[in-house]
Amino acid sequence: MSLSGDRRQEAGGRSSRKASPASGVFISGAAAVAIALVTQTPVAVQEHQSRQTMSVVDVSSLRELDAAIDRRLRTGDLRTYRSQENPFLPGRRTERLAQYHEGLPVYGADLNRQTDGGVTTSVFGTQFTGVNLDTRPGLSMEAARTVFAELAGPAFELTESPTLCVLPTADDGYALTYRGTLSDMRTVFIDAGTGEVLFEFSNMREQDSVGLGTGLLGDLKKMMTDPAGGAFLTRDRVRPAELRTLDMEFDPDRFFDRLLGVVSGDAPTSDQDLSADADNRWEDGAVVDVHAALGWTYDYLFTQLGWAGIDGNNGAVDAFVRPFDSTALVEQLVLCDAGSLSGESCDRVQFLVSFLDNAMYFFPATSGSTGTMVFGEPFFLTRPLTALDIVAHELTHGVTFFTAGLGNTAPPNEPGAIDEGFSDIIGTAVEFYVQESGSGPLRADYLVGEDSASPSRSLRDPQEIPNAVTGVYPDHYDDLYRGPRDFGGVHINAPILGHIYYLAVEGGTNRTSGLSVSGVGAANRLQIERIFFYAWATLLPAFADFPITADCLFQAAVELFGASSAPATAIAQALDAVGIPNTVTCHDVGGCL
Amino acid sequence: MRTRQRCQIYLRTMMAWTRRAVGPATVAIALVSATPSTAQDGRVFIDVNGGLQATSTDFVDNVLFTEFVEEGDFDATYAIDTGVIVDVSGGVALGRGLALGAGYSRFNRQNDASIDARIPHPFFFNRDRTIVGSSANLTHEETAVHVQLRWFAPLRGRVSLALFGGPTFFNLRQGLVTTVDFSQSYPFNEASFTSAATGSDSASAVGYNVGADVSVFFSRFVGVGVLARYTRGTVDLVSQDEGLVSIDAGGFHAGGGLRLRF
Repeated sequence: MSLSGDRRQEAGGRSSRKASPASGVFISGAAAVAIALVTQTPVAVQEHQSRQTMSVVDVSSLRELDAAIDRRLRTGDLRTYRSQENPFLPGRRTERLAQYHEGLPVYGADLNRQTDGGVTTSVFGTQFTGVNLDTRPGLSMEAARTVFAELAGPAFELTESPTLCVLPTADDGYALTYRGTLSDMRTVFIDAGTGEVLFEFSNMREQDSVGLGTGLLGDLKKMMTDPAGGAFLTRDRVRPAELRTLDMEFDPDRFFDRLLGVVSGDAPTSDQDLSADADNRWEDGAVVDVHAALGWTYDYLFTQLGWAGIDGNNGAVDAFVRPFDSTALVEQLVLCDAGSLSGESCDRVQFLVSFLDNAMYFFPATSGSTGTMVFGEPFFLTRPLTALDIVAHELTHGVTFFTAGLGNTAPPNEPGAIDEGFSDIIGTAVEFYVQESGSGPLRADYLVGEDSASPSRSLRDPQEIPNAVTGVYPDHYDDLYRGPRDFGGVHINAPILGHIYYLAVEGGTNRTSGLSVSGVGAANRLQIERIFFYAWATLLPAFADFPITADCLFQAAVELFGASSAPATAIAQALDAVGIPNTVTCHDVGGCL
Repeated sequence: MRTRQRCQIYLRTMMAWTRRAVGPATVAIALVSATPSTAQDGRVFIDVNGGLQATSTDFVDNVLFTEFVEEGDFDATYAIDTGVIVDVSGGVALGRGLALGAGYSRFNRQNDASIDARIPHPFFFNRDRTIVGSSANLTHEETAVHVQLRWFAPLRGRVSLALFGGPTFFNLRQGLVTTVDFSQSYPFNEASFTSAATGSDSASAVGYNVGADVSVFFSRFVGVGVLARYTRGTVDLVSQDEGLVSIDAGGFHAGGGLRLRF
């Protein structure tokens, strides 16, 4: 942590989250490149140990330095790694140079040469002198990989091949190191001879990337944001997967175009799509709720289920918020219905109306995409559907897409209902992961969407929630809705699955069958959640119905905990209670298929 | 008021204060006073001592900070061990066995601080991570000016006994932990201490000193002696978070050295 206003600093206070170099090795973090105003500092060359910083702008010094740079470019001691036009001054060009020693980059060295019409106007930068190092590593690349793998631990990995480089040390020397970046956001330098960690730093953004947001219910939330262009954007780069909240600012045309572009992959997300805030204090409740919930859902999936993001591969996640003004949209809808508006505009309105009082996940239309979510605006409801369990629910549809890949069938659309049910379960699980259990706002419970509106479903007692199609939601397989409404009853029948989860965790009696279940207890809820996820990730076929799902759940319980374990017993009893006794088919044949 | 009167009032005040402070020592004074006076009683005395500050002390500085838009804090516990002091005193006789003097003592230690910090979680409120660490070689410098009213007991022979007391003016400089650095990696449920940055602050305070000095003189002017002194004061330093951290300065001093009388 870096405390502000350190008025009597003795030792150099390093910024937060920056690991100290081990074994006395330290790269000065303070101003690796000394930047001076061109018009004010003509020449400044400082020797600090073996590190030389320079800010050179006067003609005579530049001529000499420029020639030296050119010579070193020819020998390969310096290499241009980026050259670009100056966007502010036409004709000017910026050339960035890295220092090399016998073909290996020297960490911490960087020169920035500006030219005007080919004539050098200034040079700023840092270079290291007296590098005299044997560049033959004692440690093979394979051995280095092993070291990095051990450093990463079981949950993380090396993101790319280690590279040999020269690391300046605090004792005015240099060390030959392997540099590797781990998926836990660390860059680590290990001694190329011994494998000892000499220096590491976190790639996590500094403190400013943590913003403070106020949700729709007035609750404070931490926002992982991304500083860019003098503002902060709703792009979370702190977590291993990039999570983006796309704010359409109630512009339906913009939303329509961007949604199609993102889903199709034709026009991926850009900075302009993200919500921005100047001081990182966020007041747009829907933006805050969704952005925070995306992160927490990712955390739950990663830390509790071992699943890296929506696709298991840390693919980026996009979520649209504030797509349109609902009142204006409904007014347009009225005009369409009255015939005052027609054609493409009405088609668009008809499409957008589906987002009223709704939240959705769109499957990816192209490979490489992870789909996208939309959290619509309220019309009959008082708030947008941006509550934590709803966001987790939608993101979980993506998880299902990348795991079980559940499809849709003609009514009764059991795969669809199972998909919805699993999203309800994970939405509830994320609530319990983040919030304290209880009832009321911002408390974890077994209701779905209760923090956005009146609850839409109940996992505890499905029949306690009414629905317009069947009266109440079914809690037993015998009462499965088989009609065409609700896409074949995907939401109506979903609580059957959710009720299995509830009974297996908390225990209790199914209202319809009267059968009781001994749950594993709330403290062990993760056992049941892992059974569900294991089934989803490894066993469940794409067009599973409830009986197949029951078998897969039991098989998952057996494989994870044993046939006579409490979780397996709880699952079996819960399946019985909702009228889907497992037939252990999966167990018999070694797999659901 | 004339200067002489002012001095008398001051001395009376000091004597009264000293009597309160030394308490049981006055018994010893009474016993010694029964002895006929042959003490070495030059007009000016100078004592040079080396010795030990034999009292260790510790204090805790709780520092609040904001990290990840949430308040965190750390406790830095400083243990100031015993150590060597250098002491020089001098004064002039006022008559009737009394003298007014001043002493200067200096105590330097390099001390360690143990650190116990609670680091907010970057994603969640109220999910602090606890880290522990330490910081070494923190400066602890005490300088003290001891104003003393001395009373020389009327002992015979070469031995001199002096009892003294008075206010002490402390100045204390202490190295303090200002920031705690840590490393963490996703999912950030744990953090590890990496280092601590330190600064220092100094402040002054008024305390007191009481003690005794026993000297043996080889000649009329030169001798050696031992010193026993208790001095105490509380210094308030400004902590990193602008709060105050109180530190006990001084302690029991034992030492010995050269005695000069002129």
